[in-house]
This record gives sequence, C-alpha cells and structure tokens, in this order.
Amino acid sequence: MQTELISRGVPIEIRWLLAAAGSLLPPALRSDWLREWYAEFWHCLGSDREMRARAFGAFPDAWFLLRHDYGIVWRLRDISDSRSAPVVALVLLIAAAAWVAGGFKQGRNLLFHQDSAGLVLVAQPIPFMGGSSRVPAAQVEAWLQRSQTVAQLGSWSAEDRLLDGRHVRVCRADAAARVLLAEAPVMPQCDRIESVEPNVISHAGVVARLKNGASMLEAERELAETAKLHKGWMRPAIVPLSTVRTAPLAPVGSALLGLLLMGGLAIRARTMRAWIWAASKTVLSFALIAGVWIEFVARAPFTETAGIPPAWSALVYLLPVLVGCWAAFCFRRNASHRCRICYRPLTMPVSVGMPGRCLFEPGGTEYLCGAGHGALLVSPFPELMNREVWATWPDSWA
Amino acid sequence: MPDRINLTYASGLILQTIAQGLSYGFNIIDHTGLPSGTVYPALRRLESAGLVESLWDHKGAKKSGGPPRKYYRLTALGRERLDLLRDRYPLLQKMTK
Repeated sequence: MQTELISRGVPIEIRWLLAAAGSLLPPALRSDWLREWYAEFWHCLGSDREMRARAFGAFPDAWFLLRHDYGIVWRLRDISDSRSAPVVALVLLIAAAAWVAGGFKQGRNLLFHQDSAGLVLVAQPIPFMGGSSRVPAAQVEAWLQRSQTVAQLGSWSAEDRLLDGRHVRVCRADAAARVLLAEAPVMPQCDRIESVEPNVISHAGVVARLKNGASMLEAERELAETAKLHKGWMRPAIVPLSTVRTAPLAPVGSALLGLLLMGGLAIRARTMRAWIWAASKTVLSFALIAGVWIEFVARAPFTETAGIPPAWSALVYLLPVLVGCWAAFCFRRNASHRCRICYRPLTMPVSVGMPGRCLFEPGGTEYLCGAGHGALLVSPFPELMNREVWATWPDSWA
Repeated sequence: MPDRINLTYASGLILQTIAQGLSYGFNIIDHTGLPSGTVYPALRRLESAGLVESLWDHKGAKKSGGPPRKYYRLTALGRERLDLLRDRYPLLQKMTK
C-alpha cells in the first residue's frame, strides 16, 4: 500500500511530525520507515494528545536509524576497540589542538606583540598590596629634560563622563601619547578619545618610548635621580607595557596547570585506551579554557598607573581559576562514574547489599557498564578508603 | 553485527514483552509504559543485534482492512539473551503481566 494512501487516516499534525522526522532519513530508508509509523497510527485508538506524544518519538527513532545506517557509531566504536585507538586519539588530539591554536592566533599576536618593546608606563609604586599611583607631572618634566634614555614621552588620562544620558569612558591624550599608545597591542579601553595640548594634563599617566639600546635599569636610575630634586618626590618605577599584559600569565597559568593535573589524576581507567580518551577530553577542555582566557588577557585594558582595571582583573585572574576548579570538579565526579575499561558512563544504579555492613555484603549503590565490562559499588560512607570498588566481569557479559 | 550488545533494563523489558506475544511497536509502548522515543530505537538496536526480527503483518491487514503493521518476534539468540537477562534482573518477569 502506498504511503500517501495510508497517511490519509492519520491526523494532519501527526503527518507533519512524521514527515519532519522522516526528512532526516535517506530516501532508501524513509519509505518503509513511514509505512511502519503511519500503520501504527492508523490502528491507534489513543487520544490526540497521546498520539502527538508518540509522534515525537519518531525523531529519536529516525536519528538512531540515521546514525546506524551510516554506520558512524559502529565505525567509531570499532576504532576505539582496535589497537590503533591510541594513534587515532593522538591524531585527533593534535588536530584539535592545532585547530584551537589557530583560532586563538589573534589573541596570541596581541599578547606577544613585538612592537610594544620599548614602550613603558611610569608609575609610583605603593608599598601596599602591589598598588601604584600617578607620578607628579613636574617630576616627569624634570626627567625628560635630563634624560639620556627617553626618545619620546606623552601623557594621557582616562575618566568616566555622562554624555547623552549614558556613561562613557573618555581618554584625553596629547599627540605623543596617542602615537605611542596606538603602537601598543591594544589601546586603553576608551569610548572616546580627545586630543589635548602637551602638558595640559597635569595629573596623568605617562607613556614613554626608550631610546634604542637604553635599558630599563638606566631609565629607572635617571628617574630615581629626579626624586632628589624636590621634597616629596618619590622614586617612580618603569613598567613595560608587555609586562602589564603578561602579568596574569604566570600565576593563573600555573593554577590552571595544577587544576589540569588534578583533573588528570581523577581519571580511573584500567586500560590505556580508556585513559587516552579521558586524558584527551581533559586536556582539550583545559586548552579551551586557557584559549578563551588568553583572549581576555590580550584584550584587557591598562590604567594610567600600569595596572589592569579591577573588573578586568576579576575576569583575567579570578574567573579562569574558578572555571578551572569547576572543570576539575566535574572531571573528578564524572570519572568516578565511568567504566574503567571502556570509559563509557555507568548506568542502571541499583541498591545492593545490607545497609551498614562493611565486610560481608556491604551496602551501597551498584552501577553497571552498559557494554558489560563490570560494575562499580559505591559505598554510602564517603570517609571509607575503598568507597568505590570496581569489579571487572568476565568477557561472557560483554 | 556489533560484538557487544548493550542490554539495558529497558531492552530487557521490551524483549520480555515481545516474548509474551505483544509484538507491534505501539502495543509494546502500551504494555511497558516506555515512551515511543525509547521503544523504537531499542527495537532497531535489538533487530540490528539479531535478537529480534521484524515482518509485515499482511494477514492482520486483510482482516482489519487497514495497512499492514510491522511486528517483531524473538530470534533464538534473543531468547537466549532474555534468559540471561531474567537471571540478571529477577524483577523483569514481574514487571510485565
């Protein structure tokens, strides 16, 4: 019987749902598949609501057939069961890492931009929690007059203003500062830039370019000399722009590396194949976190006093560590409920044993590997050393 | 055919229902209470694993005057696996009437 004829007895919304689900299938499969579903609905005596609910089940059915027909799942499982699994996993890992690295090329370029070499910010360190403040304009002027190391110097400031009912960040910079900051990897975050005459900004940030061959130490020594010229002047510090940018890399990078190791140590696998799959997933996840974090680090603006604004500090220091902790926690929890042989998720939790017993028939929850590799007994007492006991089944179950 | 067959509790329930003679997809849904999105993919999987086979019910179609329905029946391998499942899940027989 033709599919069109059978479908006549089926409500229109059911026909639409079946047609939509059937469109997932290749034509060779679709005809028989539709015949089966239409015939069931033709004979079905349920309510409209019940029939609609059943029609939605056609989607997972079609999806299953699609995967099965093309053999993607079985091919992948065959690969994962074969001895070439480590090689395939390694190739996938390298390909994914290359893809991720290519995607984050822009951030990397911004972060390690070579043109920023020689550009420095002048700031007054505060001996409290690593803070810094601006340097008196007169002291900078005195430095410029005596300096043998400075090639170019500009001043700039940033302030928040209310323009047309909205808050905007306005940067005021003299010509030299605009030129120098434009060479920096990213300009300070400004919604609007205003030009001002040199020396108009009396209390501003100072950006300078050192002469070729001039060292930071020489420049700092010159600045330190200016502190003797006027009472109250301090010994300012010189901070390369590249240092401002890369400041979060060491502490946060170390923390992420530590969390990656913790995630790796949580893997409970008894075969090399399972371990490689688990490790690949962990490494790729942390690579993704690190990549996104580097993008933020590269785009973080800097302040006049050679720092990162507090909101951005939370983003580039605190957030990646929190996300890393969460990822490590998820890996730890996920790894404990996976098969130690094939690393598939364990299913079918059932309560077993006698509650309260620790030696004979200990109570707990048993999880099974869907592929029949074994069972995991989880004790309800978290303080026990052997809280999770894995039992590998003989091959007859697999 | 895959080397390993994931015989879940739901698969066992479906095999048990078919063994009792309820062989159409919607009948299995009615009897087990499982949603159609679970039953049909499970039937496909069991069929591809060789535990059940499907046939078109032309005789039933002539009687009812409607289109032929596809029915499922256990193979020898399916019956063998169902015995194993009954040992593994003692409640399986009590779940279906």
